[in-house]
Amino acid sequence: MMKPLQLLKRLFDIDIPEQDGGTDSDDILVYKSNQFHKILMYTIVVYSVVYTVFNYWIGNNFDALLSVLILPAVLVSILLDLRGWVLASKVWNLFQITLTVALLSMSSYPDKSVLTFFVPVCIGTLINFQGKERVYGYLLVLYTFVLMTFLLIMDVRFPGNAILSQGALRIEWIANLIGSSLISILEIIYILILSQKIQNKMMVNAEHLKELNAELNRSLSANYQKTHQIEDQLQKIQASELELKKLSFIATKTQIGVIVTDHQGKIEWVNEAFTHTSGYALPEVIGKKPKEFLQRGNDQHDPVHEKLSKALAQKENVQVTLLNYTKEGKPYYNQLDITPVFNDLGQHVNFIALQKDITKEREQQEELLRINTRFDRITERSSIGIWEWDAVLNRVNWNDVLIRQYGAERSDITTDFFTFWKACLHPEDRSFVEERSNQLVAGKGEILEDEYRICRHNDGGVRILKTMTLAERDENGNIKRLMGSSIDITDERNFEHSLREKNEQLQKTNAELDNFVYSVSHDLRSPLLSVKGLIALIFELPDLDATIETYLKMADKSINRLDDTIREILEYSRNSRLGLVQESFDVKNLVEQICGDLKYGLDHNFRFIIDSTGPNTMLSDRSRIHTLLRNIIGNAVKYRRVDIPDPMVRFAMKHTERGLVMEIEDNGEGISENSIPKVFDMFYRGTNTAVGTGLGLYICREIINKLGAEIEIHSVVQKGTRVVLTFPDLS
Amino acid sequence: MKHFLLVDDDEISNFIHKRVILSADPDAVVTEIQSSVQAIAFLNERVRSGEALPDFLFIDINMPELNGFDILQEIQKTMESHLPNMKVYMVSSSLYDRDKERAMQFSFVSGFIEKPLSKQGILNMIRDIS
Repeated sequence: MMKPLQLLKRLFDIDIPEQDGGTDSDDILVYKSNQFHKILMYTIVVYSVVYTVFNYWIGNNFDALLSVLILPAVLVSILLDLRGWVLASKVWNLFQITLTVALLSMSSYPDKSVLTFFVPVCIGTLINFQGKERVYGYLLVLYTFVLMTFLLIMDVRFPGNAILSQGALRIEWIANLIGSSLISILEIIYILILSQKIQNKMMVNAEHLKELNAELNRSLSANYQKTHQIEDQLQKIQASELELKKLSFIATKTQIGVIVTDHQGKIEWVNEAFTHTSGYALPEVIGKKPKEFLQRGNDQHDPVHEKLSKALAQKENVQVTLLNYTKEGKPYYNQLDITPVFNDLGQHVNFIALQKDITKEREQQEELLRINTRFDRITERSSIGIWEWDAVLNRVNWNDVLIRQYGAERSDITTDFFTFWKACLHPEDRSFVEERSNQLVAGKGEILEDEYRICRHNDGGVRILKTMTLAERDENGNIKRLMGSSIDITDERNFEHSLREKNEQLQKTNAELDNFVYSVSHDLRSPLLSVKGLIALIFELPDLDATIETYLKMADKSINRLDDTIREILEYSRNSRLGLVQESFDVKNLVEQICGDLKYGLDHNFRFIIDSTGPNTMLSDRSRIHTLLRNIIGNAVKYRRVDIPDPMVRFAMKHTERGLVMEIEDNGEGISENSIPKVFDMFYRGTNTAVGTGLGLYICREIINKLGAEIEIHSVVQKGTRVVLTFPDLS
Repeated sequence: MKHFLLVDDDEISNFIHKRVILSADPDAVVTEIQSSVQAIAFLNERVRSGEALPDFLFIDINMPELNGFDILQEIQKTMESHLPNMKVYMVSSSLYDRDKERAMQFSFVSGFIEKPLSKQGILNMIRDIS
């Protein structure tokens, strides 16, 4: 198989030139067509010459002419192709088709012309229109085919052509067949060669491609690494961009004013917070220095400004608080933190100033300071020692009063406060005070009140302190803070002590006095009562002289008055001296007892009536109530009318809203209206009918005052007296 | 025939009381004892011998050695079971409620009488027991 191909190759000098680089499909095709047309050119030239000679020989002149005409057209086409003028080749191809069709229509025997020209033209066309243009090639082939088929069917003939003999026609037909077949075979062979060549070439190329591929892979892998690195860097860049975004967001949105200036201090940027505080927006202040518009006149020459200027000049970080003014002229305290910014080369490029309006804080601080000062003055004046322990910071603060209470100076407390304090505690009190303090810290209590002794630091003097400790706890119950106050109550305690001693002494004296009064009254009365008893005995004697009897009655009366006086003086002294005693007792019983006593030795017709509804008990000083009622009921007995048949005294008691009300009503002599206001006066006596000292009602009033009670006296002479006593309800 | 026992260190007081009692009840037997210690001995002897106790016993409060309350305690201690037959009265010139209250705390004490005894008072007492 290879031998004839190699022969052909030599014959036609077919050489497939190696092409550099470009394995582009267009190049291959141009190259392919070039080679093809070379073969075709030779074949067609030979064939045309043979054909022309033959037609001329058999007298087919037209076909001979046709062949002569077609020959240069085909040659032009081939040359154009060989030159590589693709567009011109295409145009010429179209022209060829048209020419072929036109010539065919004039042929005596179009069938053979078809075989002769149609196939090569079609193949040429298909080769010329490659790639995307292939469809146009097909269309042209189709168009040519349809047109020629039409001409054949319609049997269009060129009129001038001679009619050939059957023999000549057969020969021509055979020649055409042979020529066309030859051309077709040649073309097929050529394509085979070409494809073989291309295959070889492709194999070489494949090797090359493999190498290239390997190379590509290597470079790809290298690229991949590089890409990875780049991606990493990209990510880093993105991250830093994000960071930058965040930072700028923070700078924009933070509540702290931010000012960025250039190295000269001229503003480049401010944030919203700055605008909010100062009232100046970025466009208004850009390129200006902050001090040009934030400050007013005279404020600029104080130490703070000097410190600021110095720091800025030396490119140092500085924190200052300035009095600035807003756009509206409102002053505010501006806490500034200015930081110079340097670039990588160490050149100063910016200042960044953070500013915060601390007017409110300042005011609060000043207010707090005022309060503190006031508080200090109060504690100083009232001598209250104050201390505070911050558990978190483990720090103790105390005022000067406290230090003085311990007889110390601040410098004396070299150790911590609590050590100093414990050392000062009185040895006898130390253990209980420490224990109670520990209990407060460990337990849940909030307040601790104590009273203990200390030995002063300077002179060891024992002082008594009254202290209070408050515990402030967190939600877990742990101590956050302890606060305490301390008052030196030594003087008060000493005073109280002496007062108590005096009181005890006084009570003792009182008791002695009471005993004395008791003894005196008893010892005075005993002989008096004996005399009284003796007089009573004398009255019993038979045949008593009338004069003696008169005298004795007078003596008896005097003795009674003396006895009453002793009794009343005793009662008066007891009422004024003895303290009130509260006890619950039965009033009715008491009244019955009083009446029983009064009844003793009294005329039989005197009646004691006791009315009591409801409870009879009362809470009061039994002894005083006894004295009071005995005096009032005793008065009713004493001043009874002897000239009426039914002298009486009626006692009534009831509980009302106003308190316990007692009424003592009699039908005795009564008191004149003028005398009523005076009956309570000391030593006032309204009548001489009975014995009286003028002390009884005075004592009653004293008792009533002491008990917080009230007394009313309603009286009509010769009709009777009604005394109303009202006691506050103590129960 | 009522028997009265007067215990008082004051001789005159005893004399007066005896006269007052006799004037109220001429048949009465009145025994006067000036010493509280002797009075207790007298009463104990009566209890021991089974002899009848006095119908009325008048005791003064303020006396040397043992006072009236001491006698009351002694009576409470040694002869309470015999008491229903004997009316015991405290007789005193004391004006103190305290004394009176203290006396009345003894359940067998019938009353507290201020000196001097009166004829009417004695009559009332005699009437009360008969």
